[in-house]
Amino acid sequence: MKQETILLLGSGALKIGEAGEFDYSGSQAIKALKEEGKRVVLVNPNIATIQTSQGLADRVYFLPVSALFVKSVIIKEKPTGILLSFGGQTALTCGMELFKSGVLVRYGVAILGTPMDAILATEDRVVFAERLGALGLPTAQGKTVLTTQEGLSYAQALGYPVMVRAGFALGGTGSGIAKDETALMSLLSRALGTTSQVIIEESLLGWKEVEYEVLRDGEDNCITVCNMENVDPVGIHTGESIVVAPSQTLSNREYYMLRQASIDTIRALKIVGECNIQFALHPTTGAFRIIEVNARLSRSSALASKATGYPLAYVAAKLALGKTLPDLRNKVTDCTSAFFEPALDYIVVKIPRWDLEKFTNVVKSIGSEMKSVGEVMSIGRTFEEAIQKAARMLNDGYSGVIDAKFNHTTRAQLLKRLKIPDTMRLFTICAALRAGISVMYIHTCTGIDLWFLEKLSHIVHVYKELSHRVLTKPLLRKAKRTGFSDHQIADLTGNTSEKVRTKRIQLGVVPYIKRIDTMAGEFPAKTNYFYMTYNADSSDHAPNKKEKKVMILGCGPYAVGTSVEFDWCAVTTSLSLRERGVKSIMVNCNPETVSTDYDMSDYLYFEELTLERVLDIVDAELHVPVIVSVGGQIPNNLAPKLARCGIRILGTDPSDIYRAEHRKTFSKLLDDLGIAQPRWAQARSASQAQQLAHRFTYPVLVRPSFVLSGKAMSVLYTPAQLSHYMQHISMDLEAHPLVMSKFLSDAVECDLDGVARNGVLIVHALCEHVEGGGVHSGDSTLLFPALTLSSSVRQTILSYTKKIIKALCVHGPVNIQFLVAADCVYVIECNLRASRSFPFVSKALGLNFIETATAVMLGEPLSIITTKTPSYQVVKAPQFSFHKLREADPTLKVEMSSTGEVAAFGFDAQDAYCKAILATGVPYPVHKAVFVSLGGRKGKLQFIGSCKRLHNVGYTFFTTSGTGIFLRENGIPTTVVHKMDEHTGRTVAGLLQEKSIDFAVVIPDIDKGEVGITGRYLTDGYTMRRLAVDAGIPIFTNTQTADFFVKAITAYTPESVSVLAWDEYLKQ
Amino acid sequence: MANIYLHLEDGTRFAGESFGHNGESSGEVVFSTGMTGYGQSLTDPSFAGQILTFTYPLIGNYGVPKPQKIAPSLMGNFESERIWTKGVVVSEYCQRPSHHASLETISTWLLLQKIPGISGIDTRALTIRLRTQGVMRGIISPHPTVSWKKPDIYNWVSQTSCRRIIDYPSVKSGTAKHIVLIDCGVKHGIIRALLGHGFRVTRIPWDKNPLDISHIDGVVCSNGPGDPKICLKTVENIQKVLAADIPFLGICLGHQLLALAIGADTYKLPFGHRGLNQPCQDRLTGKAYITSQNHGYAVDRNSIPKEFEEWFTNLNDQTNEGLRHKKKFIRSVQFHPEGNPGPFDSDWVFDYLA
Repeated sequence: MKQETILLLGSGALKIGEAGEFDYSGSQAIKALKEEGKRVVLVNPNIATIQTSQGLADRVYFLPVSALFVKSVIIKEKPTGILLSFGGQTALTCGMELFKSGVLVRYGVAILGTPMDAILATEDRVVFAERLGALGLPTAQGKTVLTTQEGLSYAQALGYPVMVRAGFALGGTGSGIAKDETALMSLLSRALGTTSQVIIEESLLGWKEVEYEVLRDGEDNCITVCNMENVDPVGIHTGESIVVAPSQTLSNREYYMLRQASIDTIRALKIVGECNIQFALHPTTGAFRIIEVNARLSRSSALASKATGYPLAYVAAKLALGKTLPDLRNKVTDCTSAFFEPALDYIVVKIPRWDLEKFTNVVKSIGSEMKSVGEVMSIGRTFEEAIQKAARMLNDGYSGVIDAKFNHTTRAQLLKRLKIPDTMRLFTICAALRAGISVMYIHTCTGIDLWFLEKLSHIVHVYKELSHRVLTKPLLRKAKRTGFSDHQIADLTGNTSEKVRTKRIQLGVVPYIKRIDTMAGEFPAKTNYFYMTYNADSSDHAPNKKEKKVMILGCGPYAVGTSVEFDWCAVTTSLSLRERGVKSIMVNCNPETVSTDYDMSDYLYFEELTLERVLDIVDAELHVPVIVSVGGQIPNNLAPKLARCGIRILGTDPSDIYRAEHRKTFSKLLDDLGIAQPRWAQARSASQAQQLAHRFTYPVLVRPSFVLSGKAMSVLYTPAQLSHYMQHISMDLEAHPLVMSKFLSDAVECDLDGVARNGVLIVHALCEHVEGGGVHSGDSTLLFPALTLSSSVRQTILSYTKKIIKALCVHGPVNIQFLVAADCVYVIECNLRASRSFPFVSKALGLNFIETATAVMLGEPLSIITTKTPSYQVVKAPQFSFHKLREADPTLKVEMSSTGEVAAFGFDAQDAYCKAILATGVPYPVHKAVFVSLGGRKGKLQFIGSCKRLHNVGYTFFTTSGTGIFLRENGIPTTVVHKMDEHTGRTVAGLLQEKSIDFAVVIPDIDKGEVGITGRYLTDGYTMRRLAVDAGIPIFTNTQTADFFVKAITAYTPESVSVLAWDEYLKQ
Repeated sequence: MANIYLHLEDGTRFAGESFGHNGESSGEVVFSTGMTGYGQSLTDPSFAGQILTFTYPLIGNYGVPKPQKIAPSLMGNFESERIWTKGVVVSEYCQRPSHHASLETISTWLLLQKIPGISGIDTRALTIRLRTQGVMRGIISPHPTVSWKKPDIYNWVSQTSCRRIIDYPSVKSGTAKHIVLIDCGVKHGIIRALLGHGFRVTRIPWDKNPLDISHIDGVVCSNGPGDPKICLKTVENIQKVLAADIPFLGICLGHQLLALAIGADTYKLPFGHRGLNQPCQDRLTGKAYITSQNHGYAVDRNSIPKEFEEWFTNLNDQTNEGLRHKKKFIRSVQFHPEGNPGPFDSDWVFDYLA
């Protein structure tokens, strides 16, 4: 019989609201399909994912997940079935389009799992409410409105506050709560700008928010795998809420009432597979409403999988193929049924990870729209232990829920801050409790259930008890059981962390290893999924001395700059170890990852990536050696500390890692090697900074040498900008001098990724950035192979690389960043760890750099691997999430602001980029109309070539007045639209909202100081850029990116680009 | 500080803090994996004589509600009028519960009912011990050492059953079918479920013959504590009911008693089924249900006479979960179709009596 082909759609780049969880669900689905003997074809442009790695799907297409491209794949691959629920909203939306356009029927592709009718019912809030209402299942009372007027009159009837929701939106975009008419008007105008369906509903503000993860098979067997309770009541998006599993404040009656409603709902909608149901539960009356149903795997389902050990995505995929729940086994125990509901004997806490400091001008309060970029999950046997662990896992400078940052916050400030939820809410609450503000008062301000507040209050109580006390065993044990770290205890008792650690080990106060087995100990588990707790007397796991084991430190929470690429590195390392007969021990705390799937390593510790906890695990695991170079910056920063504690680090020696990280030492090394670097120096005062800048000549690149969060790296063009910057950062420069270097304008930036063995480079790949220096490498468009570098430059780069690698005795992965200006090569940075671009170059070459690095770190003999320059081109494009970040300026800067990336292959750079940029959600131009505002002389000159190109192929131009004059001088007719502050007439705002232009190019004016300024600013350029983002118009703020885009769209159309599978390009 | 101990028969000792009555108490130590429903579990008469360990580490979060009597001899929010467990073992009990219906903390409740409670225990370690060694006797005591006496063979059913006949009129209008409920230590949830299905219920003591009641449409034999083989009197009475061709439904202990009445055998499980997540599959339809369970004994599936067949099977360990006569309405389930605590997915089982 011919093998059946199943098409799986991925979710594309990581973005706010749609992140790493879909790599988890997709890769589990592939595993499930492969077990059933299916041939799997995957469409996903996210090249950094595990699901797009060799050895998983039979065929991978790095193409946009859009109807047009997927249709081409369908015609070519002839799948019999398609899975839509494993790639987030992106896949679901694409599936709906394929269905509506008749493609699926025409080519005989069956939708596996949840039928389209059910998907459509959950996506259309009106149908949804009707369908559930018919069965007596309550949904929020509401109405669809088409105009602002209609909205206002309905709200009048309903009574304020009201909830505004935009239909078909992800992560709550365009939604919000309006307390009065004015607020409603502004919300409605924004929401009606992004979607045709806007719903006004009764407000459920302050109700408890509870979610259930529900499974149903084709035979109507149903289970709820997990329920979760939001600590923040309705009003804060679940992605922005602290969440606990299982629910803590629901009685048995409430728990099973909502469970029954969940099962009734999944049956009513006839979902086959998994769905997530969100409820609002009134805190006193017991009334409830079904807020939302997601008929697909979601962020919550990934969390539920990790929280319970139940592989939801894997099982959902099996159900989609027609298996029933009683047919399937529980993969954790291997001896019981998959038809059961996990019993937890621990508590799980999730805290979102925000990274708003990376964005200029952004609104920092949180609400019904999602802004977080990642999350952490912690496991403990008390709430106190779990939430304190989670606070540390955030890697945001917190050593627990009580933070020293608030030491000088006044009571009045705290009272004020309690009223407006922001990203620091948890810490504000704890500071308030510490300041003696009552639990009841905080409950009134925040609506958070007293149960949680009492627990936090207990932490504060123990905190106070610890202050200036002699550490006795009972006190130490109490502190540890309440989740305090050695560091916190040391601070409070006037000790050092090392002393506290030594003392508690002497006293026998150590954490124990507990296993997650899905059944609370009722049946033995065969999987090694662990966490550590002090609320125990013994361990479930005794390490086997004979096993050869290596520990891998994972990446921690996703944040801007740390994303799925490091998870790919960690997972690939684990699999490479296994292939070599070495047992892998994974440590990570991010529930969105594949590395935290219990079957991706031999032992999984869902734990903190702190020095204390890593040492605990190393102790428990009989002093295993550790790999620190595949999980990004968190493990990299731990390396020297671990080494000081005598831990064996595999790979490059930690002292050499330090030599590369330490600016002065590294700079000296470059000087000794005769390698050029941009001039740099440290400034210890404002005046010294001005002198240095004068000496270097502007522009200069500045960065504080010590920054906790708000990274404040900037390029400055004028003395005025520098003094503004100095005022803004207000830092003690004596203690933490400012690092200033010459900024090389118009330089080409490139990245060399490689693996070295004992100081010898054995494999490498060189990528060129489209954008010059001044744009963070994570926000750059990457070209492989490098496109414009001369062979002499390439040789210089390679020779520099070899020298550095030799000098630092690199043994493992390495990444070096270069600037090329006027044929001179400068080294700007060297990381002795796997970089963000490792999966990209590995897949672009079809050669796994991480596998090579693993072999090296295990000491295998390897000779130099020569690679030939491919004939095809691969382009990586960044994905931005500015539309989610209200008021954030979308200008590209030296600080990274993208949240994800995609890549595409092509026969030339334009062929590849055309697909890559479409994959980030930029639509291909249809109106042939563009809005251009080029700030400053330089911006104008840089982009004129592209304008001419567009003009030649028939584009019409809308411009601001200055740019209009310039274009007309160059023979391009334009329609001038007015900035906000100019006289009346057609305005930029009006133009953008008409949605009749394809994209906007708004280049900041360097001379006006739009670049490099930290802090809030409101210029015309900013307003225009933001208007474009809010209107959903693609925007370019960098002339090089815009140029590259124009070249791509004038050379190719979506119909003319090459549509080949990954393996087909590799064979070229 | 440790001030109370849980001693196990195998010599293991767990030290903890008392959060209930500060006295000594002994019983069979069992564990339940339910994450909610401590109020229902502690008042479940099937736990009589046992020391109950909760595997979920945080117990008492939503407090204990004010007892609600919805009819004479019928509780609305508990499974009986009192706590039946001999002791409670938890990792942490909640000192400051939060729920609108909460009257008192679990600690106060235990104190008032004079039930010892021990907290600060590694309940997972204890559970794994019970799973691997089997359930065993234990003593909660304020003393670090205890002396073990020979266990009494105790008929807990006679203790938990009602002493007199109690009539519950139907809550629905019109004529209702009349069900006689043999109370072997019935959970009030079963009475509520029967009334909810519109039946008139006559609850009789465990050793009373249902046929003494006039105009009966069906007999239900309830759950209850301990070894079914102690309830010989009930087994005899069930045989009489079957002989009279009266529809019969057994639940939990009632299921085991039916098995004995038809000549099948029962045996003790190593650590029982106690939780809210037990998967049972209907052998005829293939459909599966999540069920609430609390039992230490099971029916030997190989001993079932040929006029009967297995109705349900446990999907985890393949033990028998129900019996069905091939022709007549004689059925039984090992699980609790009424939930309380836990799911009521199989509530339709009661429909068969209608």
